Amino acid sequence: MRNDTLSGLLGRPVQMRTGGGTSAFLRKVWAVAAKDIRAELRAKEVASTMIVFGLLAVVIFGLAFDLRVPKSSMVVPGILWVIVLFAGVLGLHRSFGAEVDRDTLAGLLLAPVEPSAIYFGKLASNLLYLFVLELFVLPVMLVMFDTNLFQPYILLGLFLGTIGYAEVGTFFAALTANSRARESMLPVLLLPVMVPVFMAGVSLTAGILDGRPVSGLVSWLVILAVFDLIFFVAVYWIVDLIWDGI
Amino acid sequence: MVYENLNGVENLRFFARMYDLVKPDARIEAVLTAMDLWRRRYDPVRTYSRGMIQRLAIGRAILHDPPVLLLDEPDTGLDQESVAVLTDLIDQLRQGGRAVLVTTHNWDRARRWADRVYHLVEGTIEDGVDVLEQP
Repeated sequence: MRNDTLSGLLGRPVQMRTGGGTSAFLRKVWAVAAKDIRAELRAKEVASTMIVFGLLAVVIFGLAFDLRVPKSSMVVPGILWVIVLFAGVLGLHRSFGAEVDRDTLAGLLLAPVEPSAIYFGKLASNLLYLFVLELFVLPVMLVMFDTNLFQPYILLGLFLGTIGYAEVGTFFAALTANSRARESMLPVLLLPVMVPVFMAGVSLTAGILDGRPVSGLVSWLVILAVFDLIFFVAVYWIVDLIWDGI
Repeated sequence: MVYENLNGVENLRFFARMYDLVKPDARIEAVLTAMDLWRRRYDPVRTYSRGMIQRLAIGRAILHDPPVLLLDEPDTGLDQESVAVLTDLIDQLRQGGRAVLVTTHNWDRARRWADRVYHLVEGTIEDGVDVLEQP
């Protein structure tokens, strides 16, 4: 019986599509992202950790500054971006670290898939986790600090900053995945690179909360957009080199 | 080797997408049946025994029917039933004209599975035995 099924298995020709261009590339990007999201919905290991950390940080910052700062909107921009950066690191290091721990990264790289498709699939799932984190953190900040962050330009800045953070963070997560000290290596490498995003994000959020005219704050949005664009192109070109020799 | 939070079908479907297989569902069913995992196909892999995970990993490796298969100590920690499935699979692969390179610590299994057996000592091939030419 078993020999019959085995010989039937090997007797049937297996066809693989070749080529396919951009649509095949996007199919593989989606396959990686969907696999990660499905596994996360079952395990609740990454996004839930980020959300719990983010909410705890809001409460702790709220208690820390409540009695000492005359106006909470003075500290809210910094608190928001610190929470996004620190909670994000928790999820980013798992995106490739989990693949290395389960010995699945080699299997992925052996498949006829461009490494950049794996990177962009991971980027998509990391972006989703970060946006979900922000969805939880913003309303809690509204309650804790009595500051409305649901303003179009603040949300646009947060959106652009999150994309840049996920782009660079996913890249460094791939770079450090095979390192034994990846948990400490990732923030040490990533956070200095994120200084422009952090400064632009905090300045934009503070400017909007202070009621300054938007025309004077557009430059911060431009910095965030240019950062996203530069790292998108740069990472696309160099991500294939990360796994050379694995 | 496989994703423990996905089930057997989801694992193979993911790799079928990576390899861009045509009609992946039929192939996935054939592989899971051959690996004796069809009954547990919707169970999360984290609930599988070590032998079942090993069989699923081998199923993943043969999903796209590669002409050459490298198996690095595939029998480590396997129960007898899983070793029997593995032995039948290697027999079929050999008869089907696929090249299979296996490393194992078990000399008897190596002689049972292989046409040629090489003894590796401290990274150097010490001697080769042509099993088919032996009495």
